[in-house]
Amino acid sequence: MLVTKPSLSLALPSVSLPNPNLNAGWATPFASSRPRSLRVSASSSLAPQPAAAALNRVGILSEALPFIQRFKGKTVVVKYGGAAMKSPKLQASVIRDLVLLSCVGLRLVLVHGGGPEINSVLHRFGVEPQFRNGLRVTDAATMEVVEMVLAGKVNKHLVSLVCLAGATAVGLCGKDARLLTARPSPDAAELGFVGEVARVDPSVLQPIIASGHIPVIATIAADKVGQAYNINADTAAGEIAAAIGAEKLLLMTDVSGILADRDDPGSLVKEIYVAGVRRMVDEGKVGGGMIPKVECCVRALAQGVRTANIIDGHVTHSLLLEILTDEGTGTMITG
Amino acid sequence: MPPATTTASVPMPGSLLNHSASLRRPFPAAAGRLLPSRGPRPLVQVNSAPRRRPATAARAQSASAPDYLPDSEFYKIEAILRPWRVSHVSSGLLQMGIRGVTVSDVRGFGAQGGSTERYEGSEFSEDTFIAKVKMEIVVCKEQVEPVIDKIIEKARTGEIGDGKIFLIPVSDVVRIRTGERGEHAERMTGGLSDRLSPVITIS
Repeated sequence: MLVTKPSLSLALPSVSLPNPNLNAGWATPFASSRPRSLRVSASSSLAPQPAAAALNRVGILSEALPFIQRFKGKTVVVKYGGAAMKSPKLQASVIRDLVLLSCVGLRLVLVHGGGPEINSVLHRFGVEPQFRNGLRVTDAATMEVVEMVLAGKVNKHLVSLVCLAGATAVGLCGKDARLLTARPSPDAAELGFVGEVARVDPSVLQPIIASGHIPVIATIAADKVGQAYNINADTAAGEIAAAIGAEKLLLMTDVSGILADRDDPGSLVKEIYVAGVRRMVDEGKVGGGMIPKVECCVRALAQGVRTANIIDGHVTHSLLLEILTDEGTGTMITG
Repeated sequence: MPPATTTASVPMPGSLLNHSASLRRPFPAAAGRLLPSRGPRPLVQVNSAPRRRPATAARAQSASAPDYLPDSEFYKIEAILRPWRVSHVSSGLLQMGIRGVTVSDVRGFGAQGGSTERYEGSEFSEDTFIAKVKMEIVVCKEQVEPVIDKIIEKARTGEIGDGKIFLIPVSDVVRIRTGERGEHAERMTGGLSDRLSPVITIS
């Protein structure tokens, strides 16, 4: 974008250009104080230069090339949950990032949770939510509502957001094409219809991804006799990543990652091996809520996923930071 | 030539001995059997805990009947690994100077007393074979333990299905190109032996 005053366009090539947002009045005193030697160089390069902001933008894009090349055509599973799903502003930003990654060639799979919605809908239906040791008890009535909310409301809302942002999404739940088959988890006796992943059949995902759509998966699944179970979204995301041979598993949470010292928010562990993270769990350095996420990451890594990341949903553009920069964000666990 | 003719009182490093006598077998390969032979694995199982030679020697001496204890200059380390860990392991081995490895694709399963192995997201019990990779390395006796440690370090994830390592005594090594036998055939230039003892006397 050229500067408005034509007399200046020749004089400016070797100096950082004035921001196009500045009005032309700024530029004049600038030009008059320029030393004469620049006039000589100016005359030799007559091509007008683009403005600083545009140069900046394309410079950053160009730096992202190695990362785009590394991940082009690879599959990444993103588990979407926590605060990033609650605030509409963060939601819009995450969806936008997902669409951007999809446009540059990554094959994305989105897995979501959705606990907070369930409580409000349960109230509307007049069902009292029960909790035991902080975990929800999913009896038959609750299971019906959970299935409706997760596979119906939350899932379709995310699908429409992605479509509005310019990509296309297909909403699935574990029951579709037997994507996930559940079995009752060991504490199902107390907690009701909570399941673990018994089998994953990813064959329905291949044609969807191949034709350029983003699968959005709600982790409700049926067992062998058709009884519906609610499976923890982190666990299901890990097993789906293993089943499709994903390159990366990203768990979006509400914390910045694994902290080496729980009381020091600055002690974020940026990169760690499976052995190291197991040691941290054994030493009790990993907080209670983080342990299931870490276990699911380790299980995914043991089954061939290249890296598993725990990132903070509060950070804007956390997805782009993790995939398109060297520094990344959050904690990366590698094999 | 079976190495059984050499003294049977020096035990193989780390070998688990079945002290209930009467294991005089005609073939020197198997010295003890804990598990029923399952397909292609009628081999000695390595117990990683006792690695001190004097202790096992003492145990051997106290056995009522003389067990056959294969001892050999060379051992083949057979490791069954997860396929995607192989490159990790082989780069680790290269770093420590092990330069000769054979890799083959196999399928297998090993029961873990009820717990299931997860492969590609699904749980598998005993009736399905899962793809694994078998890595075979022949080294001389002194290098066996470092190699085993390195393989475990690189291949371990802690989940069921990490695999197993088997140790088989090898009676001789021959290099086809030159016809060398024994230690000269096993030795690879620039490898671990060169690092441990840099002076090579070649007669």
